[in-house]
Amino acid sequence: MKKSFLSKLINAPYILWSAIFIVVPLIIVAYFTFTNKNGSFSLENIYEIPDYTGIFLRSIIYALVATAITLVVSYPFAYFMSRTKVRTQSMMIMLVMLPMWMNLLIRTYSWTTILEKTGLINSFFGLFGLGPYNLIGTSGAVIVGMVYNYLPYMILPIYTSMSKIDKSYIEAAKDLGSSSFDSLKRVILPLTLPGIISGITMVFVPSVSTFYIADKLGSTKTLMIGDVIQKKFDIDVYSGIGASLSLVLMVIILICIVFMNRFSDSEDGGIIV
Amino acid sequence: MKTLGKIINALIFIFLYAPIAVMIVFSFNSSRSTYVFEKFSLKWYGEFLNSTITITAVKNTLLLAVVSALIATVFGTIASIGIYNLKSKTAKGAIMGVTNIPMMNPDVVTGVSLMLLFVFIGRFLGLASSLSVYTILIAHITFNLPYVILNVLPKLRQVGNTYTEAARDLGCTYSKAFLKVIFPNIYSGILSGFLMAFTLSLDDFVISYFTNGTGFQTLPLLIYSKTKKSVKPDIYALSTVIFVAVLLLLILVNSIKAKSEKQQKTKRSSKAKNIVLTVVSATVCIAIIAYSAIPSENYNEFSKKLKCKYTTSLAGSTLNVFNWGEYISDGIDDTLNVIEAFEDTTGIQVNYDNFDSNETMYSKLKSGAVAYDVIIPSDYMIERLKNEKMLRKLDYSKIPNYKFIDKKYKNLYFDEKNEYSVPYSVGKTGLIYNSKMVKGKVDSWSVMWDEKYKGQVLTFNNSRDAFSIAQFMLGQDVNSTKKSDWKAAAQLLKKQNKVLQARVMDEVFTKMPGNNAAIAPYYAGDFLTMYDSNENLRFVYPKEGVNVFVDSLCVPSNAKNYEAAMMFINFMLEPEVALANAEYICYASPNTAVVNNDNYSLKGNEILYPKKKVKEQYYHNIDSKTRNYYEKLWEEVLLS
Repeated sequence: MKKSFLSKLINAPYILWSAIFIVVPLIIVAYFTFTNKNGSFSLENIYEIPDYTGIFLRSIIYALVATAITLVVSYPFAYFMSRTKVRTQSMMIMLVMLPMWMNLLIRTYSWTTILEKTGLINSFFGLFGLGPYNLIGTSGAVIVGMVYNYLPYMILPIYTSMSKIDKSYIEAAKDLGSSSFDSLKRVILPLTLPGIISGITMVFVPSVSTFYIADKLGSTKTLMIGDVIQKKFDIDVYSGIGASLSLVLMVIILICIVFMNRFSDSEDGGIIV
Repeated sequence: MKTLGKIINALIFIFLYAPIAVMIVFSFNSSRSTYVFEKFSLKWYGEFLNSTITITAVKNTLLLAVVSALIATVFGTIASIGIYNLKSKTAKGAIMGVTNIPMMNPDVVTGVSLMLLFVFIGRFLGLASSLSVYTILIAHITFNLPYVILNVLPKLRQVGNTYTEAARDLGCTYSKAFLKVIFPNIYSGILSGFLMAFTLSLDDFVISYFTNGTGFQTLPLLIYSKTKKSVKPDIYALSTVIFVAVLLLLILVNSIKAKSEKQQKTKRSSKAKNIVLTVVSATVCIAIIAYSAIPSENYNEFSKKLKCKYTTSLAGSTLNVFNWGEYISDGIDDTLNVIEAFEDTTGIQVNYDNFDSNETMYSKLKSGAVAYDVIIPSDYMIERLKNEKMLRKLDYSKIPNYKFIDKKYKNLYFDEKNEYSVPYSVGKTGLIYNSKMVKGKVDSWSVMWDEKYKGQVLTFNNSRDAFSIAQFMLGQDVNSTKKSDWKAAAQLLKKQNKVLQARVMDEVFTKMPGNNAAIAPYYAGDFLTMYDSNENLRFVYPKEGVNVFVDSLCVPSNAKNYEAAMMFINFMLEPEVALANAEYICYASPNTAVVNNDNYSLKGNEILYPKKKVKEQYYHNIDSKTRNYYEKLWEEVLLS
């Protein structure tokens, strides 16, 4: 008896807190989506959403490309890392995580020095009489920025699931006559699937909604939805269209997460590394 | 196979560390460029240590991270126990679902939704400013909580109920059972939750951006405002210091871990506890040491001279100032640090925040999200603020230095009777071009449409300035209310798209001096800054006409410290102060004590103070219907 009362008491503050600071804010976003400036019900913000279809599509495509690249790059990296000595592994993990402690803005800004027309890459090509190439301001630059910033989020979960694999499984596969490619495909890949899924979620979600990266490394032609939302709220705190775009973004991400969760059956969802 | 692995891993590390290497190298640059390395110097390390704004931001960031992480850890641990003990599966599911929201939701949405909540509550309670240090703290706790819970909850599941039940059977009270049995077992989860929360809070930019209030700037926010213009290496220097500190901490942790792993077999649990304890106490210690060891002010001879002119009757009070970024002399390169000098002279504490457009400032003030005592809007925005009764009349008897203001800049259209504003800085738009890349005489905006320069033309990334160029070309009034005028201007802008390299604002500060573009319109004073690093740049006032603007000091109607605001405005007009600001900003000064001062390095400068008359127009406040119309056209131009 006493215990259940205690547990209710213990839960009350947190429930109250999440209601006020998580649920209510989302209701307010919805409120601004479905009202006009005078506060009466209106669908005018909804009607404006189709104007931003292009930007939404662009954000999703960029995020998908960035996620695909991080996956392709991270997988062999994690694989080779998991096969080194334990000491080296923890050292490498540390080196992968270290850049995450640096401010995202600074890390992104440094890329301008590398990618500009007179930047490091073009100077390098210049030595051979090549270029200068237009690197900054392109969609490529934005994707590089996203891959760079979110790469650790892909490496870490894949590595975690990779290092959990019992070595004897691979040996068993070899003993039974499978080539290393086969054992990769039939043993390692299925066992690391949860890591891959959580890596994809952890890269895709921040990528699709990012702001600043496209603003700094891209141009007006590579603007992403996060930048648009930021700008809408910058010039109008009560931006109805900003609220409706946020709502759409949220729905997109929700769909993506539900979709990804269908592939992974681990209960924890693997969000935490 | 092995070498292939090594190659791949090496390439990835190069990729991960290239920008950081760039940052470290340029933090030692002797010039302010982040593109061209001149020679080795430690000057930027001195600059950031001397900058109160940077140091305060570091302190704020650490304070916020420690406090929010601690609260979130305690709160989150209690909540986890509560959730774990819940009987009903649906209740559990619902709570966990809600807990996951801040993690799954894009940061932008979380930030925006919290801001809307705070503004809503603020308006409901009738607060002068609804955003404050508490709102940013609440926001940080809110997004930290799920990470703590998701670290603690699995540990609780691991422990299970049997131990607690056994302890209680043996006569323990519930709380004792918790302390003796559960706590030691979930300890590591709590600590990793704390560390994660601390890290996230330290690095958060997006959510802070939307929820921070007056005068509480964190490091990411400061960096954001600094990267808006050209980054100076002082931020690189600061980041390098942080990088080295984190690196050392991680190496330390790693070596302790390695050591303990060897002894693990003998005393497992106590060792593990020790490591985590070391990590956390090291983190907290470093935060505290950094917080207290960072030098506070040690300044300033200059203020002695002014001390007799200013009373210290308001000492201890706070003044909130809202200004454009990089729009006040900040003490870099042995210049005068105006804010510190004012604090020293009057004893008033200044909270100084930046905005990056008139519209952003307007929307923040209008919504009641923030409240300031002194703001520095431009002409047309002053007209709008005045019309909407958002400005308070100034008491000119308390601003004796107003006598220095040039007659030319009094009785201007937005403040005909000189009641609301004191001019601070004057600028004009114009055309910047690179004489190595552009051949022939340039005297017209039309060169921005010239196909010869395809891919080398930049233009403004704000609607009003971009439209004005087309309007000058078409010989229109920039304040036209005729739809057909705006439509024609938009047509002209669409034609420009094919020669454009990009629409930019502050990026020109790196693009033009770096020879990355040939032509760009920008503000006259900023050209001088760019010319400093590239002497091939030229500036011209196109014959079709340019925009002129006056940014002035004003006091919003909800200012809390009116007297201090008067003092501050007067202080800004002091000849030495105005001189330092004019030298720093590089725009034309409306202050006669500056313009006629022989020590003024820009005295009689042809660009700032042209002898030949320049054809110029002010922007006026445009009615909302026309404004909405041209904003819609602008989006079409952008998307075409």
